[in-house]
Amino acid sequence: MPLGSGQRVLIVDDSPIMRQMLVKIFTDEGFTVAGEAADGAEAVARFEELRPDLTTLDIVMPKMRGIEVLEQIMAKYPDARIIMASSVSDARTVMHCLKMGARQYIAKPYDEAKIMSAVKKALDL
Amino acid sequence: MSVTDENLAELFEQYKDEVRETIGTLDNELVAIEQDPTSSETIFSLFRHMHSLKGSSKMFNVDNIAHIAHRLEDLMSLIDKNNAILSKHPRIVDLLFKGNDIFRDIIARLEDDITYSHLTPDHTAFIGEIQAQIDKINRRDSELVDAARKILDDLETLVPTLEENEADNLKKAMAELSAGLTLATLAEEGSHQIRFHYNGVDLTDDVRALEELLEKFKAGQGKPEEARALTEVVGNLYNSLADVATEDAQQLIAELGDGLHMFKERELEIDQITVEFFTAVLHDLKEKFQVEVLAPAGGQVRQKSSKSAPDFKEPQTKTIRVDEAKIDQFLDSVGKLITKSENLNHLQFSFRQAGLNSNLMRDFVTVSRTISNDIVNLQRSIMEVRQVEVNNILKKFPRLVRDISHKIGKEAELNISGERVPIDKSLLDDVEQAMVHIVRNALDHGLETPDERLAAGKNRRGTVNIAVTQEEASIYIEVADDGRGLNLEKVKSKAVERGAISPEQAAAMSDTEAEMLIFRSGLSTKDEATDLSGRGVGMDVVMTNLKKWNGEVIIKNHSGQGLAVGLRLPVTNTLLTKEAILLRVGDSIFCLPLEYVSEIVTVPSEAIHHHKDNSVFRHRDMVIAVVNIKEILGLGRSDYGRPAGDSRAFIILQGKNESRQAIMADEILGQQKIVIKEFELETFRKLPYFNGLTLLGDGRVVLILDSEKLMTC
Repeated sequence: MPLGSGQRVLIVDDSPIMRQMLVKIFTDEGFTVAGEAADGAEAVARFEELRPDLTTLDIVMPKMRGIEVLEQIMAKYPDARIIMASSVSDARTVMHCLKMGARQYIAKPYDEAKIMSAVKKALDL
Repeated sequence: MSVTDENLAELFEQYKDEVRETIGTLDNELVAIEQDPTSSETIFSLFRHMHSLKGSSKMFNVDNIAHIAHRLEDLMSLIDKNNAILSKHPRIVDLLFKGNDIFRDIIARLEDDITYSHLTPDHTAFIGEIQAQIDKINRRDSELVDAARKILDDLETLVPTLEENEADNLKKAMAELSAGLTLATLAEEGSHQIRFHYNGVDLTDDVRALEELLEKFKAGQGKPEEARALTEVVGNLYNSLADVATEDAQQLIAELGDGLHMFKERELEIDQITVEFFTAVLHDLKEKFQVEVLAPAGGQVRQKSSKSAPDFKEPQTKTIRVDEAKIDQFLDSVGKLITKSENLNHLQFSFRQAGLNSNLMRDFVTVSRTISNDIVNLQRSIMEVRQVEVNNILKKFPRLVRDISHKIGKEAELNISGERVPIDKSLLDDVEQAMVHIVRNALDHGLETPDERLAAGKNRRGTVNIAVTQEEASIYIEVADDGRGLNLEKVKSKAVERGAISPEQAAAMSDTEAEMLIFRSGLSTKDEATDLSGRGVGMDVVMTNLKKWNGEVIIKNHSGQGLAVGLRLPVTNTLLTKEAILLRVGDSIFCLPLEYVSEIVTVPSEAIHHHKDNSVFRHRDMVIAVVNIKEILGLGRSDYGRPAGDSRAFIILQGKNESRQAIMADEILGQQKIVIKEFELETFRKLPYFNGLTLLGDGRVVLILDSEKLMTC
């Protein structure tokens, strides 16, 4: 039984393979991947354009780091549901992002069950 | 495996493409960094690529790339923090090129052999090379530390040449620096010797608890259910810190609080991220704490200082703790000084007799008096250094009593008094061990179960009272319970049963002796090998340790009503100075501490009455018995029967009750400050009427009379 019911997801990561991975996971779980972004600036633009139900946001990215992207989005759309994608070395940044309004985080390397558990909490499913 | 296999197969090709692309980018960036080794943009980009390589390779279980990229990420992270490193260590770029070649090689081989994803010996060797480079960068720090130490040594020689103010400032700065250096060194050696304080609050326990828990989770041994334990431990630390936060640490403390809050509110799990978060914040907080450092064995200085930059405007109380052996050494020197200053008094006397110029004489008296006062102050302060509040031990007991009584199904209330009484630091460990045993015995054997208590007409809740009182030259610690007391017959039969004493010995035994049997090892009426005893040291060992400090154990047994076990310990074991009377008996000179002297009187020979072996005289309506010290000490017969009209000096001893006793001296030589040295040889300790010796100003060794023992003669 897939978790999603067509909710629109924006996936932000500078690594195409990571994006691909998340696209696969979200699609399999019944979500619609509305768009992807490969750096911070693109992420903000795509968010404004798509207004997704959920965004996964990488932290270490070129141009604009994930935390700045989060800051910009939250300032304008405080109801945005954003999940930070993080590796262990970003732990402090992640917690800071949560304080700034990110709903949850998912840890790399990705684990499907854990991602869905975070998504569930982030979307109040 | 994190994602299904078909997903992986499909995506694996793309992964390899991505890595190839990254390898190409890395090549370009490495060329760029070689030309401009301080470009923070390029440095961050290199870091980011290693970071991504690590992440995606982990995902596809390409362990070799993941591991190598991880190490290179560590290296780049160091450089990212200090972009001067690359210029100093140009070899790093070669290392990065080599790494990139290895990535390229692995990706090429994976094309033909999908299992080429594990670390080969060559890979491991390369990781070793990277680690060596990282160590080299860090070692740079320890070389700096060494250099700084040499500078400190040089500065030390400067101090005496400076004005007082300058010297003080320099010394402060040196202490800060030295503390920082000690920390830097210890940080590499492991941290268990470090204690953490913050604005006077000892946080060591909270910090250790959190560290322990985090370690457990890191090792993958923590269970998700223990999330509560984590929030509790973090909560404790946060609360302790929030109360005392100073500005410089507020941000960190807030971060800790936010993390805690997020953890609860967002229902986070204990995973690598949360564990890493708390580890990282704790690490930074620890740097803000004032830290007390116990130097490695070989015993140098223990220092407590803030690692942050010195702030002379608001001096905090700084303490430097010194190895106990050094304090003892120092005390010994102070003792010698006291003796020397008594020499000055003797000199003063000789000068006066020789008719020294009166101006010179006055100067001499002033100087010698000042020196004498200074020495007394010196002594006092060094004695205070050795003392701590007995609460250091007592504060552990509420928890101990709670835990033990829960475990054995008893109810106990603990009352503690006298927490502020000072105790010599060197006694702490041994006293604590003894008390743990005694308290444990009180709970385990003394107190009855609630049902038994109700049946005996007592409150279901038992009481344990710990009272510490300060006496003249000793402190008295009593642990009293209102349990069943000792059944001496039972204690004796148990001892016989275990073969500790023979039935004959048991029969002949006094109550006091029987009471002391409870301190013999293996004679506890219940199983000794429980974890209740705390440290697994037998009571016999505890008693030996207490005896080492000249401690005494007093048992007050009220069968059926309770048991009180008291420990009497000397205030200090190292140095006691006292005012004392110097007296001559026959050809020998002795000392008698002034505190034992009530009065010194001269009595005419005819006023002394002799009856058989006893002699008495009257003094202010009191009959005073004469202690025949000369005979007791075997120094010859006393010649009370002197011609009428002659009179003799008697020292009336301070008695505990109405009856008074006096010792007769052939001559009172004077009064002076003495440093009491304990007998170090067992043979001397057995001397019945003396409890120590002292050195006179002129170097003579004199025995100190034990008036309490004399009074029992």
